Amino acid sequence: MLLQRKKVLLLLGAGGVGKTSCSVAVALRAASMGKKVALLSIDPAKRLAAAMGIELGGQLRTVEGAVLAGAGRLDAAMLDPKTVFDGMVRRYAPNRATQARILANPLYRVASTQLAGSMEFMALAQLQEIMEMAEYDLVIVDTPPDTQALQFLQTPNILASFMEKRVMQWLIRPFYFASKLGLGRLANWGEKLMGNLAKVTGFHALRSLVDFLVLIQAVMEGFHQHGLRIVQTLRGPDAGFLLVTSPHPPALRAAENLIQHLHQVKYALDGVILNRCFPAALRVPLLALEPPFSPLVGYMRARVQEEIDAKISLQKTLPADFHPFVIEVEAQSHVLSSVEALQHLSQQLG
Amino acid sequence: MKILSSVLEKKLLFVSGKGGTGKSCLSACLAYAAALQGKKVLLVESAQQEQLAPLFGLPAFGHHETPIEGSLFGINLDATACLREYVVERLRMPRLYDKVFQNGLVKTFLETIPGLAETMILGRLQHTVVRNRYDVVIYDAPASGHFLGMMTTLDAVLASELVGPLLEQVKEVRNFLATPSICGFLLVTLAEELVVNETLDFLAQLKQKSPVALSAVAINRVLQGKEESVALQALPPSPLQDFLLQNLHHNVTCQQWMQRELPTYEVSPEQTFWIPELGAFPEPLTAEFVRKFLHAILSGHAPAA
Repeated sequence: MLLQRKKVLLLLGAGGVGKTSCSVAVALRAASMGKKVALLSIDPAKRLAAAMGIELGGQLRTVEGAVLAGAGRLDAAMLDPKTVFDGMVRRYAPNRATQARILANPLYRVASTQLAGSMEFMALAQLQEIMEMAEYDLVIVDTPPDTQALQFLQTPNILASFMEKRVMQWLIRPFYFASKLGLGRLANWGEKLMGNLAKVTGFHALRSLVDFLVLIQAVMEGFHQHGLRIVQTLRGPDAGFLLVTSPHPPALRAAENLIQHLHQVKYALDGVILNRCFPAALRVPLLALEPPFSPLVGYMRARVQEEIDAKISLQKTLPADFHPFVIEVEAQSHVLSSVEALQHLSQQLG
Repeated sequence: MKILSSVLEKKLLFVSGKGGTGKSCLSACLAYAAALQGKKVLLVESAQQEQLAPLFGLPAFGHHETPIEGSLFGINLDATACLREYVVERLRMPRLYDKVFQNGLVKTFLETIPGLAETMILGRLQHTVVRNRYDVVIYDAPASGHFLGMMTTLDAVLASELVGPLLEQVKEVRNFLATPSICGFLLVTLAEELVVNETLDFLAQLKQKSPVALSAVAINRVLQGKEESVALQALPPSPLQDFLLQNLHHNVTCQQWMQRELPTYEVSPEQTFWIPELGAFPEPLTAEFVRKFLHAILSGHAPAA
C-alpha cells in the first residue's frame, strides 16, 4: 500500500475537483494507520480547517481530538510563501547584516509577498524543510490548483539553472561597470545585451534589479543546494504522486494533460483518485427513470455518462509504463467539510 | 436584460471564480451570446492547457486570433509571445528582441522574474481593446486565487521603485483597468458550501487588491426549489430519491445563504445573476444551447425564500 511505502505524497489536479479534501482524507487515513503525518496545504479552505478543529497557520500544528481514530498523529500547516521565503533567507544568509539587508530590500519584499508565481517553489521549499526535520513518517502536499501545478514540478529545475552562480555573474558583471562608466561604455557582447535590455526597462530599473541580485547572491548558493535536494527528493523512491480529478470533461482534460506532462518530465504516477463519482448503488435506479427529467435528474444522468466516458478516456491516456491504481470516490450529498464526510472519504480510500 | 447588458457593454470583461464553477463555459456562452447580438467578440484565455477551443470542438487556438463562428474569435495568450509583440511591434525594436530576448539565458531570466508574465498578458489585453478591433473582449481569467495574484501584480511592480518606459506602460495599463466604464469583472460561483465560503473570502479581498471593479456575481447551476421539489416528490420513495432531495436541499440552502450575504459585500441583487441548472453542457457548444442559456438568464430567476 502506497501509504506504507512512501514518505512524501503530492496530490495534483485541476481546481475544484476536491483536491484539498482528498489531501486531508489521505492524511487522516495515514494517521489512523498509526503514522506521524504532516499535511501541507496551499489552499486557504478555512472551512476545512475549521472542520478539523484547527486554525491553519504557517507553522505545523497538531490536529487534536475527534478527527483521529488511530494511534497516529496529524500536524497540518497552510503555506505562507512570505514565511517560507524569509525562513530560507535566514537559513542561508552568511551573516545577520546580509540577512537584514535582504529582508529590507524593496524588490525582495515585493517578490516574496505580492507577486504571482512564487507559491510553487515555496511549497516545495517547505516540503524539503519538513523532510529534513525527519520527524514524520509521511508528508502530504496539497499542490496549487490548475495549470500552476505543472510549473510546480518544473520550478526546481528552472530555479536550479537560474541560480547557477556563473550565470548570475555573467548577468550582473556588466552592471558593475555600467554604473561606473555609463551605458555607452559597455563594450563586450554580454554588456551590450544588458545595455539593450536597459533601454526597455530603464537603466535605473535594471540597476535596482541588479542591486537586489547582488544581495540575493549571498543566499543563492543555499537556495541552489536546496533546490537540488528538492529535485532529488521528488525523483527518489520515497516520493509518490496522486492525481485527483472529477469525471467532468474540463477537469479530466486538465488531469490528462498533467499525466502526459508527468510522463514527459519522467516522474511516475502512483494513483488516480476519481472523485465526485455518482454513488454506484444509485446508478441503476437513476438510469431506469423515465422522461421527462427534472433539471437535477438530467444533470445527474449526464454525470453518470461523463463517468463512463472518463474511465475510457483515462485508460487511453495512461502511458504504457504508468500503472497507477484508480480509486473511485463517491460524491456525498451532505456537506463536504464536516468531520464525518472527511472520515467517510478517507475510508473509501481503502 | 439589464444585467446582461451591464456586463456586455464593457470593452473588456474579466471572468473568474473557483475552479470547477464553470467559468470557462460561462465565458464561452457570454461571448457567443454577444456575437449572436451582432457584436464582434474576442474570447481570450491564457492557459498552458486550453479550455475554450475544446468547448467549441476546435483544435487549440494558440497565440492567434482564430475565427470560431461568425463574429466570434478566440485566442490563447502566451506571455512570451506578448513580450515579443511588445518589444517588436510597439517599441519597434525587432533587433533588440532577436538579440536580447531570444537569448536562452535571458529567456530563463525573464521567465523567472515573478509577475512579468502577468504584466505582459494584462498589457496585451489593454492594447487589444485600445486598437478597437473588437466590440467586446471577454477574458476567461485564471481561477480566483491566481486571479488575485495577477491583479496585485501591477501595483507590486509600481511599488518596486522601478522607472523607465516599462513602468510608464504599467501605469497606463493600471489606469485602464481601473476605469469602470471600460473594464468589468464577473465572478462565477456555485450554490455549494465550500465554494460559497471561498467566494465570500474572495469578495472580502477583491476591493483592496483588484484595480478592476466587480460588475456582477453569477451563481451557476442553481436549482429551482419548488419545481424541482415537486418533480422529486413524484419519484417512488427510495435511496435515490433521498440522495436527490439532499442535493436539492443543500443547493437551496446555499442559494439563500448567498442571497443573505452578498449585499453585505456590496453586491446588490441587481448585480446578481442566478443561472439555472441546464443539464449537460454540450460539446461542441451549439447556438441552440446558448439561446436556452440566454433565455434562462433573462427570465430573471431569483431563489425562493
